[in-house]
Amino acid sequence: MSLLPFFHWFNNTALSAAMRNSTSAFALIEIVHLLGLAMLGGVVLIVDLRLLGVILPTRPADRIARDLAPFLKGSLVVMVLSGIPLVSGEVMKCCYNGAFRLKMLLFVLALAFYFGVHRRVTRSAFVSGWAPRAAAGVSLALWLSVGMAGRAIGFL
Amino acid sequence: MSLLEVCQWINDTGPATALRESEIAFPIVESIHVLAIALMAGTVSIVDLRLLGIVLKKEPVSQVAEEVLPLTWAGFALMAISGAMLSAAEAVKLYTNPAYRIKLVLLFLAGLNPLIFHSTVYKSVSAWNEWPRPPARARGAAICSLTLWSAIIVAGRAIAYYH
Repeated sequence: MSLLPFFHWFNNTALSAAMRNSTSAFALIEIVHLLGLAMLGGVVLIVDLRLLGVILPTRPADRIARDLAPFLKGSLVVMVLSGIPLVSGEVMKCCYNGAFRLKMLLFVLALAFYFGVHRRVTRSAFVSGWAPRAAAGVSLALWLSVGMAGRAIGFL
Repeated sequence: MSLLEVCQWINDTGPATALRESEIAFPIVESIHVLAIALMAGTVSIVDLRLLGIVLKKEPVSQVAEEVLPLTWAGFALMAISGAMLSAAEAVKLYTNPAYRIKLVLLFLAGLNPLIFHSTVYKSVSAWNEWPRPPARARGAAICSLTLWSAIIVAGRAIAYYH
C-alpha cells in the first residue's frame, strides 16, 4: 500500500492551506517545536544517564524516571502537535524528502522502544544489571537519530 | 577600527570563508548547535524545575545541581564553540541582524544569572537542600533561568528569519 494518497489528502486539508498561506505561522510553530525538543532531550538525557550510572547514581532510578515521565510525555505531545502543522505546510516536499521518511521511521521506533521496553525496564524493581544500561544506550541512540534526521529535513 | 570592520575582517579570514562556503561543514556545525540545545537548555531546565519544586522533589537540590550542571556546562561549551564558528562564518550578515543582537544581550544576562545565583541564593542551600519546594528566592532564580534560556532559543531561531 502506498502512502501517497494519504499525503495527497493531507495536502488538501484546510490546515495545509492555512500553513501555506501564512508567512509567520511556520516560524512561530517551529520555535514551539524547538522548545519541545529542549525539554524532551533534557528529560531523555537525565533518565538515560541515570540508567547508565553517569549521574545521580545514589538516587533511585525508577523514581527519577517516574518523576520525569510526565515531562517526557508532555514534550512529546508538544512536539507532535507542533510537528503536524509544520509538515502540513509542505506535505509534498516532505513526502519525497528522505530525511523526513527516515525521521518518521526512527520516531516510531523510538516511541515503540520507550513504551514497549524502556518504560518497563525503569518500572521494574530490578533497576540494575545490564538491562537498564542497554535500554539507556538504545534510547539515547534512537532519540539522537530522530533529532539528526529532523534537522536534515531542512538541508535536503 | 569599527565593530563592522572587525566583523568584516573575521568574515574574510580563511577558516570563516571555508566554513561559509562548505556544503558539508556548515550544516554539520549548525546541526550540532541545534541539537546541543537539548544538552544545555534541556538539562538546566531540569535543575530549574527541581528548584521550583516540580520534579525530583525527593532528591537533594545540591546533588541534582552538582551532578546535572556539568552536563549543562558541556552543552554550553558545545554551543559556544559551534556558535562562535557559525558567527565567524557569517559575521558581516549577523552584524545587522536584530535577532542576533538580542540573543547576545540575552546570553550575557543568562551568564550573569548563575554567577548571581551561586554567590547569593545557592550559598544557603544546606538549609533547604531537602525541601520539596525550595524558598521563594530559589524559585525566582529558576523562573529567571527558564525564561532567559527559552528567550535565547526563540531569538536564536529568529536569526534565520532575518537573513
